[in-house]
Amino acid sequence: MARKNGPLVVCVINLKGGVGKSTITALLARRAYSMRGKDVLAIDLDPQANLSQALMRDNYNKFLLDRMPSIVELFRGYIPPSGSRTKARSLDTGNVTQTIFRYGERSLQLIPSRFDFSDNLTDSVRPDPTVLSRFLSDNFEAKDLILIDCAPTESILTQAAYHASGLVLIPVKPEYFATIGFPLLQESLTTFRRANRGNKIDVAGVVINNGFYDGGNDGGPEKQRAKDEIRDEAAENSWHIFENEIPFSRGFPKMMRGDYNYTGNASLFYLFADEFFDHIGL
Amino acid sequence: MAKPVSVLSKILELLINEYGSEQVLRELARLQSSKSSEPHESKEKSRKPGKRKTASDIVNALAIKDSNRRSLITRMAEQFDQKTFLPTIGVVKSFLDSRGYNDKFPKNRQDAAKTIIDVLNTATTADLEFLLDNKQFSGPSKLQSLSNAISRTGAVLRNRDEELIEPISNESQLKSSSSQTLKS
Repeated sequence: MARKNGPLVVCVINLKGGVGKSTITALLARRAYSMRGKDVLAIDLDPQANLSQALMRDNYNKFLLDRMPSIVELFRGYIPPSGSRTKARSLDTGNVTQTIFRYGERSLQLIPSRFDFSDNLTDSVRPDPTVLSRFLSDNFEAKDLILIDCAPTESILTQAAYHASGLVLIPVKPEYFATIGFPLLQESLTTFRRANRGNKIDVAGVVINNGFYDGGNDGGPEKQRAKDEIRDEAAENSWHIFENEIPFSRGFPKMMRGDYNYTGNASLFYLFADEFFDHIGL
Repeated sequence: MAKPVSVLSKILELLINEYGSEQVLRELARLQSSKSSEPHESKEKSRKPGKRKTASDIVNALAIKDSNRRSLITRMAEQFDQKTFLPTIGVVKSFLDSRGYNDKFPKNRQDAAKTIIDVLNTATTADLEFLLDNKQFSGPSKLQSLSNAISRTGAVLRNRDEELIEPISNESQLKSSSSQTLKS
């Protein structure tokens, strides 16, 4: 059943790459669908398309080769002529989404990305950052949760994600360079709020991701120093920090490939996921 | 005499580090329920050698009236037996999770055949068709086929005329293309 106030829309962002945005988005989307029984849409706003590859798996290859519509066409606003068809088509939920799982009335769907996404935006005369939010509000009011995986650079795509979202989830790796993404993100959100006073966007919280970073001996004092800085910076911005950190595990990359045998500590992801879902009221 | 709790604690810690607490708890619950519900003899009996039923055998024994549904479930059972659908126990668990299954998980892939067929038998025809078309549960991905797809699509989308190739629209072409690349 659809939520009374429409879907919860969360963008997963950090202006630093490699902090686990796509992995976290993929796992949250799967868990919300499988374990919480929710109707979920995931959106890949990153031209690297890792979220699309993680969710679609081998179907992603066919999607590319068959040149199926993607986020590129959504930003263009139409599906161009192709094959024997000489007329452009309009967009709808059916042609721009890929269904990953479905069970009865609910599903986990994805608006996939493609590697030429940035070419298209660069070539566009004036890309419109509100396209995505308008498309979502016109078509996906019945979803429970919409998760947007953002690209790790400040661009029109970041603006598009902010316009479409009510909440922000910030993954951070406990190492020095990753913490530098924090002040950049705070600056980006402040600038957006100033320019769009009618838009309400809140930081749902920060999750410390040890997923791909153990550091050996639990990281030693340098990891602890990075964690302390994360806590200080988050407190300064009044950002919540989730109690459950994502544990180090070699199971995460295995799961992204579709190998679920012996996922080790990656199976503890549910601790953070459940805390996150409870926190945002899913 | 009971062993010291610290040893138990250390063993548990090792198990949780290796398998994660969710899996350990699940396994404990399974062991407890099987101990309490099964008489001691039944374990011995279940070890007696005998030919295990394949997924296709299980479907053949079912009374599925709708011929379309029977055909869809039969095809999926054949794919299960050939390991092109749910090829590992990990993927089996992932599939059951995606169907909201929260009963006792099968211990190994062959034991899962009946559970899988039961789950498929409760799916709608549209769901079955979707599952057959969708390769979501066919096992771990490999980089090479993705790399080929990016390269071929890039040639078309970015107008590198010398590399222009017609799109591949069906799976058999895709497979033959992959195998040719592998051979070369």
